[in-house]
Amino acid sequence: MDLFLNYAQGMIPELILLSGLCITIIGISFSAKNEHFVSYSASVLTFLAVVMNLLIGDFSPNVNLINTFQTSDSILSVKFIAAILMLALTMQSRFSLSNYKHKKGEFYLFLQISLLGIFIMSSSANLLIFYLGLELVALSLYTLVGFDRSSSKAAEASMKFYVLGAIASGFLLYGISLVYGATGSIVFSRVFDMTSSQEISMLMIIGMMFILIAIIFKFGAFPLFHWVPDTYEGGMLPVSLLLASLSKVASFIFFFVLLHTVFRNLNEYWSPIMMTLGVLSVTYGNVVALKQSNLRRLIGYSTIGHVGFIIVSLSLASGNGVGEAWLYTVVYAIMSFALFGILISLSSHNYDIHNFVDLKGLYQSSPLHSWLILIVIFSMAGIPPLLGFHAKLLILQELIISNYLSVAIILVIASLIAAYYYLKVIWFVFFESSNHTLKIRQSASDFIPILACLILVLIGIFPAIFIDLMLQIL
Amino acid sequence: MHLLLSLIFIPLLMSILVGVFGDFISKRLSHVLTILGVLISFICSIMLLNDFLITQQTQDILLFNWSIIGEIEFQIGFLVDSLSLAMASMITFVSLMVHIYTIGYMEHDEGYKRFFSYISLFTFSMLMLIFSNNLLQLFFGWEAVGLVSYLLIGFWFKKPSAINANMKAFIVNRVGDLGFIIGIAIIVYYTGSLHLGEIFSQLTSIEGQLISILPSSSWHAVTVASICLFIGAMGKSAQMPLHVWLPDSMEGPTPISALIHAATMVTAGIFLIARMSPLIELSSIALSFILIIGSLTAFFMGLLGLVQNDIKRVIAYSTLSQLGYMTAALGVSAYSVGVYHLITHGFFKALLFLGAGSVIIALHHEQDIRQMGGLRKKLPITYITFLIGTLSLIGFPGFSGFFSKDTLLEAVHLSEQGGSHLSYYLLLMGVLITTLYSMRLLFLVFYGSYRSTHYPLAKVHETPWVVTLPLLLLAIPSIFLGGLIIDPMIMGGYFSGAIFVSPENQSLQEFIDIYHGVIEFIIHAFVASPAIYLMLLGILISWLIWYKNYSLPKQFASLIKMLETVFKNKYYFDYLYENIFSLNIIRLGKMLHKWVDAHLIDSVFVLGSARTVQQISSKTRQLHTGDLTQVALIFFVLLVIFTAFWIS
Amino acid sequence: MVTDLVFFTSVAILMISAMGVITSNNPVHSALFLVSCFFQSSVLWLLLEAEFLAIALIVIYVGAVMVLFLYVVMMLDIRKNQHKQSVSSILPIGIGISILFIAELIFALSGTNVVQTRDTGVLSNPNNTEALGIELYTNYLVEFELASIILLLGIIAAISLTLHRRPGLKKQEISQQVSVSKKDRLKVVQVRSGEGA
Repeated sequence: MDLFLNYAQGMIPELILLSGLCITIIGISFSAKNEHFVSYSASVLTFLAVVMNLLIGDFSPNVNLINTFQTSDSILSVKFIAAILMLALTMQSRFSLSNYKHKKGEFYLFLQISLLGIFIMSSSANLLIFYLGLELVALSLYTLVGFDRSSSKAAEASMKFYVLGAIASGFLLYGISLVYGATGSIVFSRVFDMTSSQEISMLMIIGMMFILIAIIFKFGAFPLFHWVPDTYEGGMLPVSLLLASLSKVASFIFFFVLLHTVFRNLNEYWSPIMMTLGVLSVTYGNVVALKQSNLRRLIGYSTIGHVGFIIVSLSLASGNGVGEAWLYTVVYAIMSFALFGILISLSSHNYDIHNFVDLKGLYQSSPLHSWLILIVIFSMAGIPPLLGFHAKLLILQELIISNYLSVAIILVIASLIAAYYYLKVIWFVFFESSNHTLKIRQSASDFIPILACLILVLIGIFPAIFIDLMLQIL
Repeated sequence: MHLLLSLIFIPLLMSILVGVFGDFISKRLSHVLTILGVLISFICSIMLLNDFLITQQTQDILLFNWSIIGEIEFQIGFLVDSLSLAMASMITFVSLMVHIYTIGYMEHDEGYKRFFSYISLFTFSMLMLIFSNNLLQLFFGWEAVGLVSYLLIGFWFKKPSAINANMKAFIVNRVGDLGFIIGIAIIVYYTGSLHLGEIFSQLTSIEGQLISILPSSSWHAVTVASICLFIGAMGKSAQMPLHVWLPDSMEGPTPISALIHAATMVTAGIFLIARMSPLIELSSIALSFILIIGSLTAFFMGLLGLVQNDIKRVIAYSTLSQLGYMTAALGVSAYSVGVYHLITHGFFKALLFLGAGSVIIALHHEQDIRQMGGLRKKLPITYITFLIGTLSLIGFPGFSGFFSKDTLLEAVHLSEQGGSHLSYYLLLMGVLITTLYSMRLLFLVFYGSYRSTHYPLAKVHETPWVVTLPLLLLAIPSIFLGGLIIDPMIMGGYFSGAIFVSPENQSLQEFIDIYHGVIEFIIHAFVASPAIYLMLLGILISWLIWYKNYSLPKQFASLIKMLETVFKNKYYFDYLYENIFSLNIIRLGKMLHKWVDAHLIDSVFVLGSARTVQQISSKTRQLHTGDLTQVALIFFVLLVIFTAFWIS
Repeated sequence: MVTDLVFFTSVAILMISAMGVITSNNPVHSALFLVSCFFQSSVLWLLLEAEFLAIALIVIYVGAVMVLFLYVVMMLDIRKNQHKQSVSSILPIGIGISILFIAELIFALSGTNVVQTRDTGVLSNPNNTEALGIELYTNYLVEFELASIILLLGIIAAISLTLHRRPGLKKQEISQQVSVSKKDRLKVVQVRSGEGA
């Protein structure tokens, strides 16, 4: 009983999520007709409860449960942001799902489980727990990508994602087992001690290389990015949003927890590799995006570019690279919320956008959405007063301070290339007209995109407080 | 704090309200709102000034940190001191008058609400400028007033001349702004801060620094920074040779000419130099430069006023000349006198402009003084107030302008700054010229016989009260203000907290020592200075020529004719700029465009690189086949590469 | 010596079977190779003195999972030789990479010590199952519970991806049938002579 209470005290948000999960399952099974509504409201209530708990809950500052589970202020802040993002995601998903013909109540279950996985990952204190948390996220993602029963593309993307993800998991597990072989422990603190105290065994380095590959896959960075455009294209819009926002948060945690806390002393081994791959991701993602005619694939490729920025910043072992990468992750999540939120809102008005040509005449149909797209795209391209600019600027600045001038220059050039296709989106929205006369009115589904765009603009103009807050978290 | 915020931001709020919701509110509500906003602003500034006079405390308020890049903090903050409060009171008062006046002047204009929104926005920008505690925000205000000025000069955007004028204003101001930005950059480079207080405390470290502009010559950083800042001021305050935009800006509506191009915006340059006095003081070269430019402007621009026939342009040249006086005062380190003249000038020049506007309304938008005459009886209030403004401008003893101009002349006279003797004589001649053109204007407009053929005199009648009320209200300070504030402002060291004068440049002190009150001051002026006699001479000459139509001797007339051609062409400045600079620059631009832009950049860099990138893009796209086995292989290839990387 | 012999034999068979799983053209053969893999793995467990795990591997994977697999394979009627092309084209590269990696491993790991940390707490207890249980429910409680959530997730995922209610499907609803009353189904009509249909 003591043991249980001990665990329970540290894991209140997770337990709330878990009970919410059970309630949702029961709710879905006992409501045939309005399972969507039941599941939705149960999920929203659960996430709200989690957010409130994280906001006002009384946490003893640093819980450390026998090398299993840990919390600290920064972990709680990360969880808080993840929970808020998930709440917003749920609220926006509803508009997309209400048009979906098949059974849809389970959708929210997977959202809850993936949030649980993110929580577990960020609080984990040993490699096994960490792996289980990661799998929770990954398995829900595989399912969500294939959730759209009517689309064969979704099924294919889900299957490929699943198979490749299984390989990545295999790599991670193999890496963990090698690290265990080299250190005799899976507990973070003990592995860390082993890396600092004595001569580093080659076994550990090789194990770490396996883990690096898994990290690259989870981020969808070069050269293991193949699932990104496929899943963006095949999956439903809320799933793409999930992949772009919370999945990136999860990958960030993956990188941060393993490389920055466990293998911090080995940074001379992983830092150059990750830096190179980050730069390659930015270059590759942005260059290949140029040739895409499908808007969703294009967003997928641009994600690879953005992820490259995060990885480059995370690869800086010294300085404040981690904080800036976290800022970039959150900012990118906000931008994704705006962009996919707009697409969801449009599709709920039966205005589905797949290719560039579908954007034609959007300005005539809906000036509001067009202006919102303008804001998001400018922010993604890093045009000054917007938030995306500050995120990029800080990373470039950090790179220059850390004597990576050449890397900074490559990133700037790649961003310039990116500006080309971003502006192409704007061009299609504003300057190409089409002959359809659909008029789109504002609706509740515009709330979150508008909010996100407001954040991009307002915080972009007054960035100091927000940036400080984000940099303080990590 | 709350007072200050409402002082600055309420005009902005009103401007946004009227600008954005203009379509939904009536004309009446739009002017009520904006006037209310400026009124609140004015009351706040008076209250703050009152507080300041009691407590004598300079406040440096940090509103928030806007952004941090490296070591440099970008802040939004306010510096409330004697200088900013004196300026704010003048600006809000004149702005209030102009707001009221606009109701009458713009009554039938389509852009009525737009106009009110602009002038409120202008008031906000100007307040941001003067209250700023750092160079960045100051620059923001600087550009914002420039922008609003651009919008307002081109307010009647269907008139081609208005569009040309606003383009000219914009482009000439860019030249000045470039100097300003370089000046800011130099200051930030050497002091590492944008905050005024920090800059001034760091000045000792910058004092000995040298900058080499050309390989062989090196300059003191202070001198270069000061001159760069002054170039910025030259653009905004229309000093020679960057003055050409101001006369053309008269294409805008008259209230704007009064508010922006006479009382407030054009004085921003003077304000900037006064604000930066601790820096400028360190460089006597820069001070001499300022002095020479100022006095040249004062003299030569005044002459041009003699040959203008557009009522507003005469006043515009007079403004140029008066700005020259203020600049000259800055050049002899008499910053307080410069600002003193700025404030008195703000009132009487606004009065003159609004009076001219009143005449223009009465004559149904006729601006040519050859078409006027004898309006004294028809427009009594306008006449009286215009007369007061003119007397103040020419420095008639007892009027507001008399005190400031005389003090200014004394300051230049007593100074030992390089070039001060030449300047003194130029400025003295300027007094004569000022009198000539002012009295010419007065005689031609209000005396003699009515000369217009297309608008009958019978239809001319006094303008409505919204126009005459501001005239009357502005006439009061135009008479009394100078005498009232000379005691505290100049003699009492009101500016001691805001303006710094180095010990060796204390020329004004001599004058302060012999000062014993207003009456003695007037008497002293008769005894010690030739200015007053020059002024009386000027009145006499102009009375003879323009009132009595006394014709001049023949030889004399031909000489004047020749000069007149030069004057009419404005010393060929425009010719120079348009035909030599602009044309060649356009030619150069075309050449550059053809060779560098079209050939090198477009076809080689832009299109070339775009083509290359596109080629790479389509090549690499083929890598993405979607075959699972291949992707799975990548995992292992990566593993082999990574391991090989560290195996040695 | 004997343990070494057993270890290397079973590892060799394990690897051959694993190759067989991915290379054989007949899915049933693949499944049977997989069974062989499991058997060899359980031998490895036995060598590590983990009897419970060895038995569990055989009982659960061979006894339950693989049988299910075989049923599915037989029911699906998968054609042979479908993927032979891609596998054989990639195989040489795969083998090359494997050899490279093995060479690297040998080069890198020769002379490194694998840390010997056998947790004696488990092994000192002669009852393998009990020792495992105690560890699982104390030190690894959270991991254990998380694994159960993963299983739950697997179940939900499988159901939500495959369960498909076709609209318009005709089926028996017993509860409705039972609750039907006479009034719903029976209507008494008075037919006058000569007016009947």
